[in-house]
Amino acid sequence: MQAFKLYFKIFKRSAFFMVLLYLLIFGLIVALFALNIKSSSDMGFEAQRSRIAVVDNDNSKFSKAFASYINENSQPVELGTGEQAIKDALFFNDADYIIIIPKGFGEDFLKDGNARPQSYSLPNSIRAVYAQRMAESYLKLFDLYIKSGNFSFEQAKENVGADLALKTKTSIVSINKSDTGSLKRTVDYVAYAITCMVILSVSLTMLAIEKGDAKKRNLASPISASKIGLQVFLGNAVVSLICCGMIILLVIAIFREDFFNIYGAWYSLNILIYTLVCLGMSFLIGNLVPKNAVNAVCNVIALGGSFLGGAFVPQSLLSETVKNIAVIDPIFWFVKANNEILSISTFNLKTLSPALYCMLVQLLFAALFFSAAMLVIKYKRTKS
Amino acid sequence: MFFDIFKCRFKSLLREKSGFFWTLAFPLILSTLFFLAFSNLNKIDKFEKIKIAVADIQKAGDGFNAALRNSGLFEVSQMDLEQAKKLLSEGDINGYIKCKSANDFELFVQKSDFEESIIKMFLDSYRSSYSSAEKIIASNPASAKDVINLLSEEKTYINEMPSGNGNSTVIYFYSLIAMVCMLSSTYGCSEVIKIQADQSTCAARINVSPSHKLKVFMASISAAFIFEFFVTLIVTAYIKFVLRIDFGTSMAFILLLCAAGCFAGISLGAMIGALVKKPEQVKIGALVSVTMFFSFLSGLMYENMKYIIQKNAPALAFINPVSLVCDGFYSLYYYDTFDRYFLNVSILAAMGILFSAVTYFVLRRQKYASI
Repeated sequence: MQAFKLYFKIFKRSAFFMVLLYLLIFGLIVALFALNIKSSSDMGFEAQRSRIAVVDNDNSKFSKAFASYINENSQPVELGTGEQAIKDALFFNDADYIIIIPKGFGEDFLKDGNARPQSYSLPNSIRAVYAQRMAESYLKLFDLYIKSGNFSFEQAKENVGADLALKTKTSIVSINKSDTGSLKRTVDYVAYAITCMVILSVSLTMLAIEKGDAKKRNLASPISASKIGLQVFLGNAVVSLICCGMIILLVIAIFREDFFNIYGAWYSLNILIYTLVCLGMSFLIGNLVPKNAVNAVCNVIALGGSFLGGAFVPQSLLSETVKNIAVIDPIFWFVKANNEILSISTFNLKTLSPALYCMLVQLLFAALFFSAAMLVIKYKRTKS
Repeated sequence: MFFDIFKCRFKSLLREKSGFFWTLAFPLILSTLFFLAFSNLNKIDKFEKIKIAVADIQKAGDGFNAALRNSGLFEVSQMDLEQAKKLLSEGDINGYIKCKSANDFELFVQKSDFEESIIKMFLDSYRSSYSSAEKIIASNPASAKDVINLLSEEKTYINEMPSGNGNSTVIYFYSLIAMVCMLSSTYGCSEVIKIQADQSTCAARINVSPSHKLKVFMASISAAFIFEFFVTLIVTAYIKFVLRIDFGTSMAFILLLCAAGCFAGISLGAMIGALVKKPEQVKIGALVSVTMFFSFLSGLMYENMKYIIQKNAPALAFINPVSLVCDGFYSLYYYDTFDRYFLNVSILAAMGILFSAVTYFVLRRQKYASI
């Protein structure tokens, strides 16, 4: 197994650092992602909160009460001064809804209910619709109490507060499925990391073995070319499996018990199958591309495949044209398999068949890449 | 003499395949991918009527039925509980309401998103109005008619002001162009290395030639600037005319901003090349890393990062040339006035002049006793 040992010596020198770097980057992304994950044990209904900025230019008793109600029932946003601050906050989605209370608003509203604050929001945003309805219901109830003429400001404020505190009983209907959406999104990201790691490690190591002194030494040795080829391929397979294992371990380290279920098992199988695709792809690149172009090719394939295949942006948000083009992208089938797994409630052959089909397509891609690589190797040998 | 050196350097830049890939081909590929992946991203969070089912609506009465239909929020279907439960489990509706009495309801949903929150808010609001009406009528029974009229009246209490319909995904494209401008720093650095005799053999040869060093430097740095400016224009033209990303109306302002960005980038690279006495690879590596970090801060990987920095550390946004170029494009696209655009261009120009001055004072009258 000299060639196998040589493979790992060269791998350590030429690609090990890059693999660790990508693992670190992926780890950071997943860790950041995990910070936003809601606890899966929290299964009760929790109403959303829009991001609302209230600019109170009135500072009256009424405007303060109104601003206070809005702030208590939203995610309050602090704005800078000037028109540009308002425009920037809306453009970058820092605020969903901005309410400007003009001077004299409190007095005028309590007099006849006709004074109006101004609002800014992105057109047709669901968050803005939610925020607007909330703000309107407060003003409407206050108007009702004030116009009836029987309530002082303080009484009206107290009654409006009590009325708005009435809540409807809301239940989340159990659909007998674990909340694995966050895990699935993370597994989608795996496609990018594993593509970079496997392509760089396999291609760079193979190129180093196939060039210069290492190649001459191998040619002069008493081991047959086919045995060397087999051992090098074994080295490629082991390195790819190590990359796959490290990635799965990283995901487990972050998701822990959320990963140890039937979904986690199927995601792992899908990652393993996609690793085979990357192995085939790297094998082809290692035989086809010069060393100084590997980095560029790796970036284009990994980024291109991830964007087109839906690893970075959910497939549901990709246009039909992109989806039609993406059928030739293995990452598309990897992410599609993850989507199919996530949609399963009861695992049996029938419900699993769409996911299995996606995995089969990936295996076909792997076979295609291996065949192409073998053809390239044969062509090179014939030529030399 | 000047033109000969300029021509030679320009030709040699055209032949550098690796530079061509990272400054031209890679941004073109990346912008195409951004375009394909982000084209539907602005459709997230758009309001569409929420599909709901209502069971036992007769228990709630006509008032509730009318409020539900007049709200403009829902697509309402009436059915029995079992059917509603089935539709919810199949994902055909966002939730169903079980009416218990005129002001008592129970809501069933599958998740806690904005659609479901709006259904709940409507029900809460209806209950609140009902309770308010009861209290007012109890205090003054004669006002019952007025209260009911007021409640059923479709009246808005907030004036909606016209707001810009900006698409924040354009920031990815602007940052990408800004990154290309700033990658010109690698060319600026290389040009300085090529005239410092202790840095490269090519420079040693140039230094023993009878040509004036500053003239050689000016010719080669001009070639690098023109080359990078054209590369930036190709990327910008591709994004504007092929991908049809909106840049505002003025082409002249776009050209000026690209030129200012390339000038700041080239002069930054030249200054680093002159000041730092390390091997070329280290300097280029450092410049690429700094450019990528600056690009990250200006929104290349996450569009809101630009705003986060602008809001929390505005000084950092003003000293980051990538952010200044990106903000210049953003100002042209989103604002009606040009104040912020000209501020960005002025800072970029000032940076370029400052870096050039430092480079000049480091390089002038440099002699080598031994190499």
